[in-house]
Amino acid sequence: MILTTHYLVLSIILFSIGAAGVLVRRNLLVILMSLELMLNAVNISLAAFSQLHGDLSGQVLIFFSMVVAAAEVALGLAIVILLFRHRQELNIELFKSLKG
Amino acid sequence: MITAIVFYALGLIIVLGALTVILARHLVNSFLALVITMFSIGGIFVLLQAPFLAVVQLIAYAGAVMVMFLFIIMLLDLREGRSQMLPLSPVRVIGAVLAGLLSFLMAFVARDLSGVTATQAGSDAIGSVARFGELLFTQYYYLFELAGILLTAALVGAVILSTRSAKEEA
Repeated sequence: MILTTHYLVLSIILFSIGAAGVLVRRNLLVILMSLELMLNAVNISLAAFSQLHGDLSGQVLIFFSMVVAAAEVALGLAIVILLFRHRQELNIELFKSLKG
Repeated sequence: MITAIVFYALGLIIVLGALTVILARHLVNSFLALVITMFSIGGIFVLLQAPFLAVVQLIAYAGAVMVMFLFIIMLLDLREGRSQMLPLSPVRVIGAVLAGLLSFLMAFVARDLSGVTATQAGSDAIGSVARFGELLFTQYYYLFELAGILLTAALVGAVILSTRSAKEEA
């Protein structure tokens, strides 16, 4: 039996890596992938707490989080295609037109 | 013992895979590392007595979502542009330091739980897919229906977004 802390530390490391990816990378697709990493990190910690408390509700919550992640990826990739048609590149530094 | 070995192996693969995702120069390398990471997270779910979620992780994440990413990578003919990283600036360095502090803080919270492990009785109760389904279709039934509506809305939204711009270009 592995301590819950170990799962949480793994989740923290994964979340930090994902956050760093969102902050540092320029490519829009890599930023989307980093978002997926962060979502999965949260899922791991939810599953760890679900096991800790012996309560299945945590697992149901993970299921819904996966549903939302799937919807997010579908829309996100549609928007990526739109942006690519507009500029022929995915560098986020080109998409500053919304900046005031 | 064997559980510990599997956990640390999976954890190592996950961390290395995630690092490859954000550090790889080529998009396809990032993508492949992400697939490996998703697979390994499925393994973590097995260790956490969530067999149904492990299967969903493999089918929905490592399968469907990753195929979507692959399609987009193949469809968009991406040229290798300038440097892949954003330029360093003082604000960015401060942000990185704050992010590091945040992870330390979270690790500190997690440390409070050290020594705590799931009771065997509790873990027997959560391992079953049948009870998961029962909970999903009784207590969380309305949420389940709402999730269906959300997915339909996302599907319609994605179709509208992609077809409208194609019409405009024609």
